[in-house]
Amino acid sequence: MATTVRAEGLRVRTGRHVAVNGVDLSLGAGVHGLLGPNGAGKTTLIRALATVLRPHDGRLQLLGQPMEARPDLRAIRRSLGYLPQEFGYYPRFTVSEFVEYMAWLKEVPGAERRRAVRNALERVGMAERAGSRMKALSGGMLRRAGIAQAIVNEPELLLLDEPTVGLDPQQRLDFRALLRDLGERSCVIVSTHLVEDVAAACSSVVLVDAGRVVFHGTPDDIASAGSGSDAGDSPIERGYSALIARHRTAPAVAR
Amino acid sequence: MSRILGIELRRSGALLAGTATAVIGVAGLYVLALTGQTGLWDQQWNLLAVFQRIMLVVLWPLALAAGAWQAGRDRRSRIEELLGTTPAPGWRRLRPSALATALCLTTGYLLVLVAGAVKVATTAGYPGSGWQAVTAVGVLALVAAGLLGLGLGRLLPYAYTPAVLGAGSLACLLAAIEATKLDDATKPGWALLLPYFTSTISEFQAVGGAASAGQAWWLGGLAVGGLVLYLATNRLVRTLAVAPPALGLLLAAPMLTVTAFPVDAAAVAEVCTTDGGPRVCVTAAHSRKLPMLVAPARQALRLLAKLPNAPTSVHEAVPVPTRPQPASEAWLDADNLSSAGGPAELTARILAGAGTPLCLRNEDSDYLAVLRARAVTAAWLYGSHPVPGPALAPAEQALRDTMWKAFIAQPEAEQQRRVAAVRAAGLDCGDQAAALGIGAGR
Amino acid sequence: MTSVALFLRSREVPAGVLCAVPAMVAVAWLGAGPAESRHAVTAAALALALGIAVLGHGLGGPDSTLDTTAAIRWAPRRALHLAAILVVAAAVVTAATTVPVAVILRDAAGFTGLAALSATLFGRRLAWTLPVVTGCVSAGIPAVPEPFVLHLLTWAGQPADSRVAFTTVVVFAVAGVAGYVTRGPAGSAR
Repeated sequence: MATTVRAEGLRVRTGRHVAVNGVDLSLGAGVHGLLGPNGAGKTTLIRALATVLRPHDGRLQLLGQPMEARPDLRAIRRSLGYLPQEFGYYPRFTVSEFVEYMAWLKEVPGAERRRAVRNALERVGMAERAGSRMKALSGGMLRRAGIAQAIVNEPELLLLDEPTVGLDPQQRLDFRALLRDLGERSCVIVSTHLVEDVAAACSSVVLVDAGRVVFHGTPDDIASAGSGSDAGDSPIERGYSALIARHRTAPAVAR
Repeated sequence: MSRILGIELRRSGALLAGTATAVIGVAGLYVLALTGQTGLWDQQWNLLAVFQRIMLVVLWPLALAAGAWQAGRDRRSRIEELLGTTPAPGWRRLRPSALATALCLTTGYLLVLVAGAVKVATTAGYPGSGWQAVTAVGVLALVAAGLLGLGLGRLLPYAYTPAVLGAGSLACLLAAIEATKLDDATKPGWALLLPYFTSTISEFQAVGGAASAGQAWWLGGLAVGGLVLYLATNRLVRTLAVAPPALGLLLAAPMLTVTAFPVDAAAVAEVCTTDGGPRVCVTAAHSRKLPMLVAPARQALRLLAKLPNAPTSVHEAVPVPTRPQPASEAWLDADNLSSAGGPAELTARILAGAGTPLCLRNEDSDYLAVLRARAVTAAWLYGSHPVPGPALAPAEQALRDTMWKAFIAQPEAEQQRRVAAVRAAGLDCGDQAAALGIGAGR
Repeated sequence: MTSVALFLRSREVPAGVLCAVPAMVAVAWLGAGPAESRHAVTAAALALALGIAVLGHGLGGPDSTLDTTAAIRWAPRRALHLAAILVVAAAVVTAATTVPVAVILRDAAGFTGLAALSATLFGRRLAWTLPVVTGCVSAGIPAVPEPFVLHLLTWAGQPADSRVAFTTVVVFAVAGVAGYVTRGPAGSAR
């Protein structure tokens, strides 16, 4: 299995703060959940993978290209899909116009562009709202439009920062199915707080805290790390609490 | 790219900027209809094109502000992070919005031309020469404003940029007019670098090709500079944006000394009757007025036959004559063609000064005395006093009545001699009031 | 006092004042000439339009919807805010030019009304539009007494005793103040 993302000792700064502090990761095709408390560095890590932030130290390879040399950013970005945490959009554009605009920017060839747009909108269940203005959409629909623009170029590396915010339970179920489908061919990294999404849709889970990877394994591995005494309502929540707590009580080992 | 351009045309602020240009421009043209002043632009294509250039004083700053607003869209939409992860280079992403802005402003400007053309086509006879160049430079000026606004808006991405650019640029333009107060209206010099004309031209003038070419270089340089500034992705390119305007200025330098508004030789060329009767001629600029003039002019020639050595043809006099008036011709000032109320009044106006144009030699010659002398000759030739025409102020009318009575109190031969003297004085721009020898203070 | 300071900071007013005051002084100074000269009046009107357009950005906060849910009474505060804009702009321009105070106060009231109107209709980001557009139209056309339509359009450049200009300003001010005080700024356009 080809490795899409490979990080070794990756450090990324946001201003003076080192938000990602020595991350080792190797991810290929599949759906990878990025889980962790607020301020753990999830968003910074995703932004570094999205080529928004340059690594400050360590090594990062995206789609086989090392980022510390002079990478061919255009080639990487052509195969990249990204939904930022704060998703900006042009309010006057219609949904299909916005997705088409993004497809153009992602250099989807003109002949296939309209089909790609229609396809992406159908996959997120927005086909019947294609003609609505972006500013008229509700929060959940905006999020789905954001996912549509992220997948319009059939990316090899898809980065979704909190994609399920604002989705209702039915939409979240559909979204999990979409994730599993996408994970068949590409490397999908989903950052979230919602542990049950991870359990249902992810093939692997990366647990981060304080800028480091605490744990990397399958959802079942996490569930088995917890015991009845840990906080949480489900096995995986208890496992999550146990792993974070274990990491925090043994800081000297990590450093 | 054409589909993306379509999206930008539909959804960006460019459409609104173009619409505003068209609305303000058309309103500017037709607001003059309320006072019957559309003559400022509807007499000729040339005048319409120049009048549009004058209206740029308002449209130019607004286009600048609209461009700056458009440039701030990505920032306002907080979409810059997402756009930064796309492979397309920044200049490629911004190209459609720049093109949409230029297209919409161009369309808006041309719509104003079309709206004016409806009226010009029914009024103007002579097309005027070179209006296409005047309009093209006007379009270039407006597009330059839009692109410069885009560039400056991207360079200074603040919420206040559009407002400051809009009102601030107009303030600078108005201050520049004050600073370059014109000595010679035909040679504006530095004022030609302003994106709009500061004064209109007469129907006998055209905009010189050299002036238009110079302005095109300079405004084109500004437009390219603005575009470079907008599309620039690094500091080096941004700095290079000053090069096109500088080069344009260099190429435009020769125009600063030329006569910008030369006499249009084709407009002052004569168009005459060819029906075998006494010849009646007008300038090509007024060729539409010829049919209206023929009958009153021939009537005037019959009345002028009372004089010795009487004229045999009637010609329109241009403001700056290119030849002296021969004794065999009667001349009529150009402005009478549009201001006279009817055929009888037109005949009377030709008879004023016995077929000579009004000539003001210097400041000390009494303008009113000359007008009165001309009115008396007109009345004598016409055969009745007062002649057809608009009513005068009672005091003025009383004065002329007195003059008329004094004049006809003289022997018949003396009357004829004096009218002939007024005509002789008019032929070489002499003092017609003195030639008549009657009136206040004489 | 801190609540006033916090309110002003939430509306980005300090930055607006820092931009508006030098801009007004510069534009008014560009036209400073003999008193009552047409150019001086035009420049003063344009300076007011610019300054009030910039200050108008402070008429809305980052989130108008959140503002409307606040417990405090907005109406008097909004009225006070408009009055403050008028006073600041008029004071700065009066200090920078020789134009009669009556003309400056009249124009300031008109442009403040227009800024309030555009903030109510289009939101704070577009609060500059009506003052700048009317300011440019009013300053770009020579202020003539006849015909009536041109007199109306060039209200900002008319002499102090022009009743038409005064009526125009009253209409703008009443419409703007009434709209803004009762409805507040529109949600921010992007």
